[in-house]
Parts: sequence; C-alpha cells; structure tokens
Amino acid sequence: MFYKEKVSRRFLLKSALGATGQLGIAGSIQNALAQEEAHSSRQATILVNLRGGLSQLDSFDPKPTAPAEFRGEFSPIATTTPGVQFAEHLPLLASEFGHFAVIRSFCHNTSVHSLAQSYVMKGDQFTKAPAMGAVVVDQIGWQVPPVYVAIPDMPPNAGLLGPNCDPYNLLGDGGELLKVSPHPQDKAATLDLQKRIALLESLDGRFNKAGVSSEVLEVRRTAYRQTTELIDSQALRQAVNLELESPKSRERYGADRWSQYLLLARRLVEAGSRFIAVTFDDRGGFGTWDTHRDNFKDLKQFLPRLDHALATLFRDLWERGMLETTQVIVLGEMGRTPKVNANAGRDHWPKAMSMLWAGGGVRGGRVIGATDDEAAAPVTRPIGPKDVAFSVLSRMGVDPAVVTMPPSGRRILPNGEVIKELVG
Amino acid sequence: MTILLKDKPVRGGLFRMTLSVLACFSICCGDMVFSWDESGVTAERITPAESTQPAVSFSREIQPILTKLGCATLSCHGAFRGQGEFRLSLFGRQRHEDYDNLCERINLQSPTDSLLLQKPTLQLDHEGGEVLHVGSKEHEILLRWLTAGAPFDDLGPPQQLKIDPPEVVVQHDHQATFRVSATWGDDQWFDVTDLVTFKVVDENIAAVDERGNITTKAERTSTSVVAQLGTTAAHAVILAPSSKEKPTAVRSTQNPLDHFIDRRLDLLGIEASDDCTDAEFIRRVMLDVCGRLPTVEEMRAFVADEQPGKRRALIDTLLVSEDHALTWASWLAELTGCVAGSHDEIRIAAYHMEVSQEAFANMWIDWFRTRLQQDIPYDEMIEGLLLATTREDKSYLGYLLWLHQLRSRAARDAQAGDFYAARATNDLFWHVYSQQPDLYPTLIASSLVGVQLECARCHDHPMDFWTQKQFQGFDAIFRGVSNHRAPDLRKSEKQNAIAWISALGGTLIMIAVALNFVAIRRRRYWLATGLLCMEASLVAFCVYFAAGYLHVFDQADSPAVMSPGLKIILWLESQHLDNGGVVAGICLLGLSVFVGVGAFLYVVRRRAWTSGRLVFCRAGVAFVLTFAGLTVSDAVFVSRQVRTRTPLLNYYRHSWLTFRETALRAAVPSPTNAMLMLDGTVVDMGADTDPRQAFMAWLRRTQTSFLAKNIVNRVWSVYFGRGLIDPAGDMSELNPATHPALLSWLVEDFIESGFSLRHLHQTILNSKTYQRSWRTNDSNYDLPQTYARFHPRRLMGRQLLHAIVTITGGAMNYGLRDSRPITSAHRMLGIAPTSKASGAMAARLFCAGSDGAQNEMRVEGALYLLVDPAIQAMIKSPDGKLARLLASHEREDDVAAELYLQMFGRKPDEQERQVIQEHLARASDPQRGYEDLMWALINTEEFQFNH
Repeated sequence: MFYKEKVSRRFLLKSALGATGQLGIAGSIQNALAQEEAHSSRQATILVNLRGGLSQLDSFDPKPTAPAEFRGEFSPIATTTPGVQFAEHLPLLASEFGHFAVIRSFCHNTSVHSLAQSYVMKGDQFTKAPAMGAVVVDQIGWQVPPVYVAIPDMPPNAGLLGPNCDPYNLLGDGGELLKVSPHPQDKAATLDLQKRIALLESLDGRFNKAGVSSEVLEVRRTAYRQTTELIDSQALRQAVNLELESPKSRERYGADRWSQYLLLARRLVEAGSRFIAVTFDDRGGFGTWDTHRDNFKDLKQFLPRLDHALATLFRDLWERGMLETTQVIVLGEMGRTPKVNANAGRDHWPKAMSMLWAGGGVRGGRVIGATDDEAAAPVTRPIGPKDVAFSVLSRMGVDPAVVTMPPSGRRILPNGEVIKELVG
Repeated sequence: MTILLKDKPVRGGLFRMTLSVLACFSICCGDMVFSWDESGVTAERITPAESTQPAVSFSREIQPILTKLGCATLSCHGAFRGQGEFRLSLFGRQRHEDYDNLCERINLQSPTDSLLLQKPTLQLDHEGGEVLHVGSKEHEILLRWLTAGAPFDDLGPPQQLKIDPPEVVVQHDHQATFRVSATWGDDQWFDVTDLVTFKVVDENIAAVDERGNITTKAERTSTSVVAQLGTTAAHAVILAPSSKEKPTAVRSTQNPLDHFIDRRLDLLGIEASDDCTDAEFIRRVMLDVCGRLPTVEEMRAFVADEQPGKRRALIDTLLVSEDHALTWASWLAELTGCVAGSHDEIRIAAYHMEVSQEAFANMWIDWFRTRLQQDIPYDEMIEGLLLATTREDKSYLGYLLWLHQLRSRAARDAQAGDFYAARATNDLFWHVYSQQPDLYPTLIASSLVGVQLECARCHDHPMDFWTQKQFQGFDAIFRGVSNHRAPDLRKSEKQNAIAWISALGGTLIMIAVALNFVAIRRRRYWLATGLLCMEASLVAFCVYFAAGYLHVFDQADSPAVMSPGLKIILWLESQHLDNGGVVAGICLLGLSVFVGVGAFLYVVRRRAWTSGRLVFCRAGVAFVLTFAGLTVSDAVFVSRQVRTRTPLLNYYRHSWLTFRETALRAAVPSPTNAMLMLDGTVVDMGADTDPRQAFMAWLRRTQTSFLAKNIVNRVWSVYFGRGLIDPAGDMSELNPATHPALLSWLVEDFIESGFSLRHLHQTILNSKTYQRSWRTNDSNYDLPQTYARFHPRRLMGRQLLHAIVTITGGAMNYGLRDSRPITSAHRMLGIAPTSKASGAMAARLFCAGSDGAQNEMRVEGALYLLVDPAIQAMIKSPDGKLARLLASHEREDDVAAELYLQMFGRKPDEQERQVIQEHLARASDPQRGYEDLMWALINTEEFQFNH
C-alpha cells in the first residue's frame, strides 16, 4: 500500500512537470522527485549477472572429495560458517559470508546461452515475457534516475511490456564512464546544451502546428521529453559522478572495472534507481565465464576480481545500513560440467549452479540446497528461475500474481513460489 | 446412453463400480438415463419431449451459445484450470470434454434445476455474475436441449461462415443489421446470427449487439467486425460516415489501388489531402525506395523538370537502381532472420563458418540483392530459402573447394556476398538457427506465412485458432533438417580427410597384398598381376585424393595453379558424379596406368615384383598407413567428443558419415509420411521426400491466403507505416484487413505479375494514395487507417543514420570494412555485437531487430542524437558539409535555406527565419551558431520522419 501511495505522489509531481514543460521549472520538480526517491526506504535490487555461466565447482560449491577430473585444480577454504567451504580464490567472500546466503541448488534445463540468459532474467521460458527489472518499471513508470538500469549494458528484455520498460543502458560500449553526456563536470557544455535544446524547441513545431499527430510522433515526443529530463537531472549526474565519492571509499572499491560498476550501482540505488543489472564480462559475447577451455587459468584471473568486488559491495552496503533495503543477487545463466574436458575447460551445465543472495533481510551465512557428490544435480530443494524471479519481485513489493502481460492478460510467473529459506 | 449426475457426487471406488455396473446394465436396457443423488442411483427411460421445433444440436448451437455468453473465455471457464472446477475449451475445440463437463452440471429429470441454467441466471451463486436471462432466446434453446435429453453430436466447426452485408454504411442515428449464415458442408445454409460472437475491432467506433444490430459511435471512420462460430470466422466492414454534407470529389485515377481507397473516403465523407509537392515527393520516395536523402541537385532538377510523367519516370529509375536493390535486400534479409545487433546466434553461425559476421550478413543481403536486381519472382526466392541445402548438388569435395574459396574471399575484404549469391539456395537462415531449431517454425510462420504461432508451442493459442497440434505438425516439417557445422578445413578436417583416406586405402592395400601373395604361391601370375594393379590403383587413389584435398586446403583459391589431380577430380565432378563416381573414376585411372606397367614388368621380370621381401615391404607400408590413419582419426574423433568406442568396421562407416554430413542436409521425412499443414490439411508424401518440399508446395497452393498476402501486406506497411492487416506479422482470421477488397486485389495483381516485387512497388508508389501530402484538413487530421493523408513515419535506423551522414558530410564508423556511406548504412546487419565503433553503437540503438521495435524511439536513441560526441564531431568537421556551405555562401539566409532544402525539402518560413536570425545574432561566433542550428535541425521531427 505504502508503495502505491508513492506512485500517486509521483504522479502528481509528474503531472506538474508535464504542465509546465519548461526546463527551468522542470529541473526543480525533478529535484523534488529525486529527493523524494533518496529519502524513501524502498527495496532496490542489484543483480550481478555472470553472463556465460560460472563454474559452481570452482566457486561456491567445491567438491574436494570428488575424483580429480571432477574437483578441478582449486582447493577449498573454510568460511565463517563451520562446515561450509568455498574455492580458494574467494577468501574475502568467505570472510564476509555473514552477509549473504548461497543457493547451491539453482537449476533449469536450457543450455543455449541466449535462451538461458533470457530464462534466468525473466523466470519464464516464454521469450516475450518481461525481465524482472521490466516488471518493476511497469509498476513504477518513468522516473529519473531510471528505474531499471543496466551497467554496462544489456539487450532489451521487456518483451510484451514494450520498449518503455527496457533497461536503460548506462555505459557506452567502450565501458567509458558515462553515457550521461555532457560529462557531469563540464558546466559549459551543459549550458550549451540547454541553449541548444531551447533552439530545438522553437524550431521543432511544424507537424504540431499543422495539427499533425500520430502514435509514432507521440512516442518520439515522449522519448525526447524524457531524455531532456535525464540530461537535466542533477540527481543522476551526481550519482554517476564517481569523483564525488569519498577518497576512502573509492580506494576501497579500487580501480577494477567490476568494482567500479558496483560502486556506481550503489550510488544509483541511493539516487533512486530500483533495479540495477550489472554484468561482469570483459570479453563481449559470452566470453568471461564461458570457460570451455582453460577454465582454471581463466578463473584464477577472474575469481579474485569477483571476490573483491562483491565483498566490498556487501561490506559497504552493510556499513551504510543499506543492506536491509537493497538485495543483491549474483547469478549466471548456467553452471559448468562437473567433469573437466580435454581442454581443461568445463562446458555448459544448467542442471546445477550456485547463486548468492544478500540483503533485504536475507539471513547470511547459510547454504540453501545441496548438490550430489559431483555438483551435477541438486539432491535437496531444487530452485528454478521462476522461483528466483518470483522471490526477487515479491521482496521488492511487486506482487507477481497481479502483474499481467498484454495482450492476453496472462499473469507473469504463474507458478512461481517464494524461496522461504532466505529469511527466518 | 448418458450418465447424469445431480450436483457433484462423491467420487470413490464404490461410485465408479456402481457406474460400471450400470453401464453394463444399460447395454441391455437401451436408451436409459441414470441419475445420481443423495438417495442413490435411479434409472429411468427417457423419451424425448414431443415437439414441433427442430432438434437442438450440441455442437451447432449449445457450444456457440456458451461461447457467446462468455462462459468459455480465458477469464472464466475457458482458463487453463477452469473456474469452480468447471472447464470449457476455448472456441469449443474439445467437444467431447466439454460435453462431459457439462453433463456433470445438468439434471435431465428436472432440466430447470440444472446447474447449467441456475448458475448463469444467478438462481445459484455465480462468481461470473448474471450472464443468462430466464426467458431469453439462449435460455430457451438450452432448456429445449436439456428437455430433449441433452443429446451429443459432433458436427465440427462450420465449413464456412457468411456475413451479410460484407460492407455496411451506418449513419450515426441509423440502424443496420448483420445476418450471418453458416454451412456444415451439405450446401444447406443456416441462419446463425444469434449464435455467432461478434467482435468489433475498434469498439470506440461501432458496436454490434448479440442479434447483429449495428450502432456507430463515431464519424468519418471505419472498423471491422469479426463474426465467429467455433473456429470459423467471417468479417465485415462497418463504415461510419460523416454527418456533414459530403464533399463532391472529382477523381480521375488510373490506378485501381486509388479506386479502393477513394471509394471508401467518399463513403465516409472524408476529403483527402492534395498531392504532396515535388520536393516532398522526391524526399519521400528516395528515402523509401533507395534508403537515402536526395541531394540538393537531384531535388532542384526534379522540381524544375516540367514533364508531365516525371514522378512515374523517377519511380522507374529508382526501382532499377542499385541502392534500391541493396535497401530492400537488407529489409528482406532482416525479415528472414538476419537480425542485427546483439543477437548471438549470427555471431556463432559466422564463427562456425569461419567468416566474419560482416561477411556473413553480406552474403545474406547480396543473395537477395542480386535477385532483386533481376526482379526474380518472390516465390522463387522464398523457395530458394526454404528448400536450402548446404551442398546443393555439389560433391563433398566440390563443396569444400567452394567453401574454401568463400572463406578466402570473405577474409580478404568481407565481400563474399557476390560469390555466395551465385548459389541457387540460401542456407544461412538454417545455419543461424541450427543452435535453436525450436525457433525454425515460429520464425518461418511469422516472417513468411504471416501468422503468430509462438503461443501454440505450449498450448492451444488462447486468442487465435491455432492449436498445439497444428503447431506440432508445422514443427515436424522442420524437425528433420539436420545441420552440422561447416567443416573446419584448417585443422581437424584436414587430419580427418588424410586419416580417413590412408586408413581405408591402407586396409584395402593390405588385403590386396595378402591376396597377391597367395596368388603367387599358387603360381597364378595373371591373378597376381591383377591384384598388383588393384593395389597400385588404390595407392594412386590415396595419393591423388590426399593431394587434391591438401590442395583445396592450401591454395585452391587460384584455380590456375591447381594440381593435375585436383583438376581431374573437379572434371569428374563436373560430370555430375557423386563421391562414389569420383572414387571409381580415380581408381579406373590408376588401374589403367598401372595395368600397363604391371603387364610390362610381368613380361620382363617375371618374379621380381613378387619376391617375398618386396611383398613384405609393401605389406609393411600398408600396415603403417592403416594404423597411422586410424590413430589420427581416433584423435579427431575424441576431440569431436564422439565418445563411444566403435568397433573397427564401424570406423569406416562412421568417418564416412561424418565426412559426408558435415553440412546441412535435406530434412528427413517423418516416419508417417503424412504432414499436417497449418490450415489443417494433411499432405501425404513419398518416402524419400524432404518435407519442406511439401510445405513449399502448400505455400504455393495457398498463396492467396499466406505467401503473397503476407509479403504484399508487409510491403504496404513499409510504405504507409501500418499494414492493411495490422500488425503486419499477424494475419489471423480474427485480425481482419481494413480494406479487404483492396488487399485481395493487390494480392491477385501481385500473383498475376508473376510475384514481381518491382511491380508491387510500382503499383503502390504510383498511386495517389502514396503521393498525398501530410497536411491535414478538417476531415482527415486523424485516422491513419483511411489513408486520407500521408502519415509521417519515423525513419528506419539505417535511413536515419545515413541521412545524418549525408547532411553533415561526415563519416560514420560502423566498424565495417566497407566504409562507403550508403552501402555501409544498409549493411548494418553485419555489425558485430562486440564492435566498439561509435557508429556500431548507434546502429544497435536504432536498428535492434525485432518487429515493431524499429518504430519506437527510445530514450537512449534520443540521448544519442542529443548528446553523442560522434554526431557533434560530424557537424563540426572542417571538411564537413557545414564548413563547405559556410565557405561558399555569403549571406546567412542562404546557408539556412540550403540546410532546410537538403534536410526537409523546403525553405524555412518567415517565423523560422526569424528564430534562426535571432539565434545567430546571439551566437558567440557564426560557426558555432550554425553548428547549433544544424544540431537542432537533426533533432527535429521533420528530419527524423519521412513525410
């Protein structure tokens, strides 16, 4: 209910924005909106997408007693929870285990990357279903900073909810900070842009004056209006300007790109974004985690970065008291084959994988589900993408049972269930 | 006999036993009805009530009534789990199940006490509210059916439904009525007006009540109505004319297309806009037909031209231009599944083909481009696409050679397109989706057939007539298409080839040597010589074949330096021999050479070639050859993850198979040989036929309903921003055309022209309808479906980016090797998802695939246009168009006028001129001022739309 009232207040502010239509006033209303976002304590989600599929055996579900061709090269280390072990390249997460839970029995049946990605992001194999973030946008509507942000980027995945619910890709393809241009600190350029927009507004009325309107024209007008709001938003500018972060905090996150992504994600949550999908991938395509060859060599390089980035985020959120209102989930679209192949790699294996879940009241230090001796299949409590998506959304205050997709009015996630073990 | 239950009985073993006893009993008793209530089972013989009225039929009347009352909708009992444990099938598809479910809710002894009647009339509590009134016609029919003993029958859906009149004009305060009649195939027509469900497409325009009475709620507009009975539908058009006096239109038009549109406008009382100006026309038609803006010179020349038929002449010129072929080839490639941007399938397919993604997309585009240039009939193109095989009729070696040539061309400059276009078929679609063969049926259905099948994959389509069974039938057509990765010529395939040859050759030689030895011991010298010759020919075969293969791999690109062995092989292949023929030919060759040598040696040195030591040596060589071959091919197999250890004999079979099949083959027919087509017809096929052929034949047979209609509608939607059936990919019976007569005329005309796309373009482009101005008048400011004026359309991504390049005079870096502006803009499909080029990012923003997404300008797209440095740089560029304009024009007005002409095809009006002047006066320096101006103009609607 609380959340619905907020929406209606937003609606008021937004109507005011539409009515004035002038950039100066729009700015101040925008600020009011941003403040409102910042001070409210609503659930946000940071989803860390390990696109390509992280090996469960070499990360959060080691099997030290399995034969050598299964257990791989890494040895296990102890975590803060007695009896639970992680792989040796995750020491920081092992010591921060108090902040998050591990699900070891996450599984599904799709071993093609793109379909599996879609399945995991949506909780539904129907390719036109909306992703979790898109559902959140659908419930909240347009706002600045955008509700659903992808760092660095993500293909459109709102499905039948339409392009308005697609993720806002924050970074350019080069990964350069930031696709909020002109650069947040370039005051002169900002001023120039405002002048230009004024000129545009005075020249751009030909169809409108002649009384010509249509759906496509309206879509374009809306997009331009929203974009000028984005350009004008101080909240967004400040959120993406990492220079404003304290030196201590910047130092702690470090210079690694993935850590920076997470720092950015945290700042966006503070500014009011609600669903941030961060993709850890350096190679493009499904490169980084898709270790068909040289699994161990690659993971030795990537796991410490993952370890540092996540552990820093968890500790930072906790110290700021944001962990209660921000859930972080870490997952890829599949696991890897238990048996190491001839190229010292592991192939696609959606039947068992591990994922992390932190924040939003999740009890840390606990393991949910377990796999067999070779981490090949869950032996207890198999959890599918639909349950994960269902839990993520319902924990954000969105009731998946009442959200429907056009045109048929089918409910999203008709059979999902909340993962009860996360809390309590 | 019928078993009826009052209310809901307790289901248990005893109950079922009783029923089965009763069932046995009923056989003896004849037509009995049993009913069950608290007191037990009672049985009595029912005699149907004497009545003069005709009998009520379950499938003809009862089911339609339930549908009509809304009982069988998705939100009520038609939901997957039903409601209140009562489930009805959508569209009354499952007649038996529906009947059984109904029977649990009726009471024959006292029909009015049936739940079937009590619930919907709210005599009992009903969550769905009151949907049936006591005394209504429906109530009466239901009651009559119950009184008659609720008999079952299964007539199926009507064969045909007729709605009369098919087009009706209804003034605002007037009334009209539809009559619908149906036939079940015996030439008898029944009036079913009261039974059909009417659905008006736009309910803001008109309403049709359950008795077929029409009322209109709007003016100057039209909508369609669908009458539906079971899974049969018919549609009609309702016209709601203007209440004002109709304008007297004087129309003299040659083009029948205009006749259909104008007639509708006259009926509605809408005044169409005038013709667009010449400048507007050339901008519009160039963007649509050639994908680019006209140059200022072209525009001036065209406006100045005073010949009467200049528009027609321009259209004819443009339609044979290269730009046109490229633009529309790109469109066709995209339609058939070559989706740009972030889609991973194409990247993977290109990777396996060992060509760049750019080359891969170019092959796809050029295959269509060369065909469009020659105006090859559309159905032939589609046949080439649908019946594609990778090797076509090439031998495997010939295919390898071809593939190698393709790869070396692609590696050189990514221009393998023309080489690929020489193929008869286009197999790229099959390569791309071979990773997910599940997508074959839905993609083919939506892009070529024009229907949306996706939902029917998992269950009967909830909003359309497609059933899951139909989907499965459709799916089965493509199930058998097998796809193997294109052979990797560089490493494992080379190993495999040589290993296979040496293993097979070596074994045969060993056998020959052994036999030879035996023959000599037995002093059968002629036999020994023959075997010797055979042995020699095998060696020849091995050497030539291996040499030929190695040659293919290493330098086959330049046929001039082909080895003689390869030449012979290719010559043999050109004689249309398959692999067996080639092998036989080579053996024959070896044989003929060595027969001579062998005979000579036999005569001269009778025993020398058969001495024990030599035989031993030869056997040793053969042995080494065989086992070396086996070992290498073993390694190849293991690396290919063929894990099962095959017995030795299977080895040859296996390697032969992998050898032959590393390419797309024709589909394997289903075991039953009977394919279910989408329209429900079953096609019987011969044992060895590719089921896709049957599908293609079916497409040709039903061309007016699918193949031609789909493409005509899609081309129309490109030119007018909406399909005659809209959305264009959804040609469901429940989604009727706005102008059915026009659509069928266009389809007929298209078929008559021999599926000539050029003819279709001509027809549309030469029409007054296409050439109307976008300006509005009092009667046509809204309603795009009347085509009374031109509705501005957003430029497609590639048109937009190319237009920006044109007017800034800059260059957009798409990360493609081809950097010519127009070509690269229309080859965006080849941009790799990983490309970091600034233009590639733009392409992904504006062209990211999937139907409809093209028409959406999203925040990121707008942000790109507003602030991206790449665009700023193009505007600012010292050798850009702006710099040149400023250098060559003295007066400020001229520069602005030139910009307006180039970008919008007009001069700035007074007010705009004033704004511009004020802006320039305020600007810190004129250069900056003009940069701002150009930037602003790029961001106007007028620039970003085709108008």
